[in-house]
Amino acid sequence: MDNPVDLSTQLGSLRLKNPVLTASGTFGYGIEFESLVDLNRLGGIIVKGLSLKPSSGNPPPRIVETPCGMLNSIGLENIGVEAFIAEKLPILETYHTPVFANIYGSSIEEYAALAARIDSVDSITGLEVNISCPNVKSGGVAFGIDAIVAASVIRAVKKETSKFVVAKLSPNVTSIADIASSVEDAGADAVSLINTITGMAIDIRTRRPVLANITGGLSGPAIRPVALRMVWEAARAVKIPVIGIGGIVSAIDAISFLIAGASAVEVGTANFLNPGACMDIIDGMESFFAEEGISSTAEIIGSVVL
Amino acid sequence: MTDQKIIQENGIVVKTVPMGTDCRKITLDSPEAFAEARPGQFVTLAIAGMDTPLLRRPFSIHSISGIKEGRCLVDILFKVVGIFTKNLSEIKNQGRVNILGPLGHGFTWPKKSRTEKSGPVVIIGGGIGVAPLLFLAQSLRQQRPVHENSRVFIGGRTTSDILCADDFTRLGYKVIISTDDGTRGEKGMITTPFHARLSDSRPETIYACGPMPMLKAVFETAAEHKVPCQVSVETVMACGLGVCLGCAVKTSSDDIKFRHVCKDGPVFDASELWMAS
Repeated sequence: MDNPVDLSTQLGSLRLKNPVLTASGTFGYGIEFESLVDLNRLGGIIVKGLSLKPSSGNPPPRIVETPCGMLNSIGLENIGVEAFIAEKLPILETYHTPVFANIYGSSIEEYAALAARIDSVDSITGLEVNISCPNVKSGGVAFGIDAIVAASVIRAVKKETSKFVVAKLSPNVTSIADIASSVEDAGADAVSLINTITGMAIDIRTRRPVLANITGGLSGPAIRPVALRMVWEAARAVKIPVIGIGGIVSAIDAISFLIAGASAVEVGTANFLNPGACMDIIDGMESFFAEEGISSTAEIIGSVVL
Repeated sequence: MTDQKIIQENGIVVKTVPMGTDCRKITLDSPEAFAEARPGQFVTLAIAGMDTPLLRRPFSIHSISGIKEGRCLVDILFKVVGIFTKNLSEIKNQGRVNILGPLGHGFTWPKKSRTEKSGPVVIIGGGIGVAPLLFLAQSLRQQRPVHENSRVFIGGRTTSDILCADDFTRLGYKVIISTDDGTRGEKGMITTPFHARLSDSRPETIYACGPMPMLKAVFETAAEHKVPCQVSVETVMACGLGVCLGCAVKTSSDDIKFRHVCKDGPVFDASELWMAS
């Protein structure tokens, strides 16, 4: 299909064919969707969070549906960076869509080691650094809730790679603007937000938490207004591009994040509801741009009228 | 196994039949690709315009009841338990349901030459657990005549929970029924007659679907008689495609801690999940 309008977007030094990326953990390693989605049409693929070694994740139950959303405590199960590079990446490489490796570690050294490993892989365009996971050394407090610690993770990653580095921010903080500024100062090329909001569900008959992990991350349309507010706040605080994430299921949702100041968006939980969600969002954006006479994505980014 | 294409499209409701007191059999006119579905596989459904609940819901394929002109009829047998299933049961003929599949790993059986005689099998279902078992029984029957010692055990709380008994009989299986309240068949749990009759004739394979405690009990008996046992299990699920990793189940192995119901299952060799006691 010819693009009647130009959906491409500038993300710092990167030019993406459109602003729709898949959010980590909701699109596997991309290839699971081969028969359902034209992977070449995506703005970018952010793969399932990778660690140095394979991780088996948390015990079940791991997910529960809550109003307009879901809680998950998957526990970052993944095949590990080496298996990803050896088994999955060769298939992803056959598509013309930039691949971003989402990485997480339990120490700053692990983040640095992952960055160094990925730096040598040509077909990976960039890294998205998940700083929402627990720092083992500080008793399991997430890296991303402290501006200084968050910055030191990004600094360690940047030291090991010349690739594009996106810091994925946790919403479970007092001031998202402070964290965003802090990772910007540390050299992040972009910030993406929001990761899931910590939540909980209880079974009133057994009086037990529904999730084996007790708490989990809330995603889906339930978090969208919170995400939109935080994206707006972050976009005002930093000069680097912002990628909006949080309950985006339609083109309307995606466009509202662009207006709030995001240069691109990530689609997450929507992939579970409708594997073709990203395609529908791209189509919907095209139609909206055409209807409204918007000639480029840049025109709409940060255009919120206050 | 051949590579199967997963597709997502709108199916059209062509028939809804009440079954028992709170179950329904819905027939979806679906794309022909679903004719490739294997017994034990499942689909996930979404109802157009309905966003509560949010997630798609998984249903095992009950039967492929017709294939013609590039379309295929997919039967889904389900129990009305919540908002989704209530809405699904109320869709009028010609209404649309978004169908994604075929998904997961189904039942398997030993490959045999045409002349080789089939051994007896045991199929055991608890309540709505019969849903994927009719498709299995039909497929086994299609391969070769039903062995005279093949049995189907169906259990439920009460007579209205006993579904599809006649369908299995018509295929040539001997059907044994039990109900908790004794309103049909033997009184008590289905695992009792199953256990008692397993020593009469050793089946080639046991296939089971139902509540987890029942599956565990079936596995214990199967292990005792050293008969391979395949179980179809159910979990909460978000994607159905092996990407959210939400449907993990614990395994009996220390090497691989978890399996995923949507991709590795829903049918597992029972010894993958439990250790015989």
